[in-house]
Amino acid sequence: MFCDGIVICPSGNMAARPLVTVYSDKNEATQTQIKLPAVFRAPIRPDVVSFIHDQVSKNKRQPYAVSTEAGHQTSAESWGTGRAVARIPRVRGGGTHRSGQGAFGNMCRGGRMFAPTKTFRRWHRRVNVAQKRYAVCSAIAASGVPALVQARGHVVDKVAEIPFVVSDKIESFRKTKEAVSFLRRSNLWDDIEKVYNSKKIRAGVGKSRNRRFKQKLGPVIVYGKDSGVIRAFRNIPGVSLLHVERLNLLKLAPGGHLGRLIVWTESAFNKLDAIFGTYKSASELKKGFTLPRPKMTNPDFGRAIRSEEIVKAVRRAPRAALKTSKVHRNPLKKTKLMVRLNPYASVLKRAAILSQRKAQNVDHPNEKLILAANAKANVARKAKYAKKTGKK
Amino acid sequence: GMQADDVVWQVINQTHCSYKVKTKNHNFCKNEYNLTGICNRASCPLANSQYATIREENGVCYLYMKVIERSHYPRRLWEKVKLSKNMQTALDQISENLLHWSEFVRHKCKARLIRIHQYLIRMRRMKLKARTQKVITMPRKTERREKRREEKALIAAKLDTAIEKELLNRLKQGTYGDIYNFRQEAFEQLLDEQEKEMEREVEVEGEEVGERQFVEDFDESDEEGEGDIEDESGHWTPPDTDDEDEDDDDEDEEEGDEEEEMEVDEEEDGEDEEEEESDEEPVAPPPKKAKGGKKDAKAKKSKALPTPKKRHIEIEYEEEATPRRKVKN
Repeated sequence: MFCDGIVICPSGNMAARPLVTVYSDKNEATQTQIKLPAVFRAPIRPDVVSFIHDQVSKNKRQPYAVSTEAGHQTSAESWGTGRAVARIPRVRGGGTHRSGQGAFGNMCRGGRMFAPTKTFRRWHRRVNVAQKRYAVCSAIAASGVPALVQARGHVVDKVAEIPFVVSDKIESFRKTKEAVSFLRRSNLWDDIEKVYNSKKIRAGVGKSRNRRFKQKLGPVIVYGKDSGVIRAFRNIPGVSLLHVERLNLLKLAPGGHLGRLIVWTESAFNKLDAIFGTYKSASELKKGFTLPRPKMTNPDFGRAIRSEEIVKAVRRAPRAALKTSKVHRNPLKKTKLMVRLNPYASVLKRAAILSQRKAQNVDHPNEKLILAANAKANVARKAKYAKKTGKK
Repeated sequence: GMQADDVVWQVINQTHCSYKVKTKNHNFCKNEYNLTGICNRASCPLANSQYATIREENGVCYLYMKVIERSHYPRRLWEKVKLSKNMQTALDQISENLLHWSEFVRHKCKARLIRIHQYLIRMRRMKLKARTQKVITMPRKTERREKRREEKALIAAKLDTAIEKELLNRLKQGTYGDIYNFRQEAFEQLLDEQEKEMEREVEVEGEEVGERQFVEDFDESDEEGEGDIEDESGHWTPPDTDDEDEDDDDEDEEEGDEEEEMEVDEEEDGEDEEEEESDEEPVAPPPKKAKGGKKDAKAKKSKALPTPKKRHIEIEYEEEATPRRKVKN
């Protein structure tokens, strides 16, 4: 039940490959535990997935175009100049409203549209196989992160484990009833309730083009062998079904968003290592394919740069140069400097201040105290002087 | 690698997170386990493997903790610890349980606990105050609709006419007794006619010589009528003698005076009426009105005897725009 073999080391998280418990169709943990396939350690790349999804989703399109002759099924000719009409080609003949009306132009009524759409538009996109495989690996890896599954919007509060692996009993379900009771017991039914509640009429013209309703997506069931699964589960709204060997990015990351809820059967889960390979061995089924390697083995950048090893190896961040205090040099702005140059300046300044105060009839708040202090100082000075002269 | 929080945060933040709510200036997180309610790196319960929250259920506070070891088992992800009701001990419990955890989580948990306690206290206090006034909201649509319907109902009720009718009924029944008598002229006319009949009868009877009869006064001015004159705020003016339309009936003389009085009463009481009810008749020149009034009165008189049944009495309201003296032509 618990992850075995977890080594939380600052580097080499890839090495950790925990054990995943297989659950019975009644949501009881069986004794079987499977080592987590290496695909789940593939780098999670939302950019790759988004791009590939975008490209691949164009491949199922059906061409549309306007008729090639549209707007040109007239023998219109311009009347030329001199007839006090615009020079647009006009329909020939007479006896009908249509005669003399403009034709051919995109601005004319009944004329051909600007740049008539063509069937030979490039509808499909070819995508490199390696890229497609990369995207699928990313999507599977993301499905193993409960946070991403939750963020995508699935209700997984009560699910026993993610990734969720179920015994192969599922594959031989024949009745939808069985499928439903399985989903209920496994606490996956909440997700399907979400689908039921989300059914809405589509906005737009698709309404009348056989795409009337829209609803959310629920879980995907990935099976190893179809002994009836498909037919048991297919009528449940929101549920998709995929064979392990034919995984579809459009189903694993719908809308280009990572983290769809996946229910694996035991046999499917076991096949994953063979299909995608590990970091030690190449894939058996996909020729020449090995799992993509992440750019950073330990993506926790913050933790890394603060780790002991790195801090030791790296020189200290240069301290900013000592701030020297500013040297003032302008005597016109700094009285101290002025007084240094011209001692009489202080006298002048004081006189100016006093005369201003007198004019405004404002006293320095401590004027009295200052005067008293000065008087006292004078007295003291005079006394001292007197003492000196007296002594003399 | 393994569930690296940074990777998760990058994916969630930059692509799509179903819990994120974007407003003009801020991003909020709808996740129920979020400690602050704001969507940012430190508060995201999905992007932090080691995280804690305080949640309140039915007035009891619980501390929820999650650790990285259980991150793949959603069913038992959150460890729930019941906190003491005493806030101080609860804070100590938090410190104890979140020992060695990140400062941010610890601090925010305590802050959240305090806030929860504060609003719980407030809730209890509010309950005790037994506020009768509860804010009940009504959707704007219904509000607008009901308002318009009220207006329409008000118009349809025709309150003025109903009040008018009611007052008239009461008058007729005599619930007002002697207070108002401007309506009595019809009654008076009736009485007069009856008197005359009685007189004739009486005369026949009184052919016996020497018998005393007690006869009613022939004068038109009733006591009530005189009372009228005094009742008004002294605006009595001599009654109009100018009547072009007067008939040559004998009764007319009496009528004339009565009518004048009635006029007086009518018009003056018409003023009163006007004060009570804000009816505004177009300001027709008073003499015309007077004549009209007289006409009506005559019409009423002629009707009075033969049809003692209910009759619709018209009230004419005048706007006393000019002083009465000018009424005389």
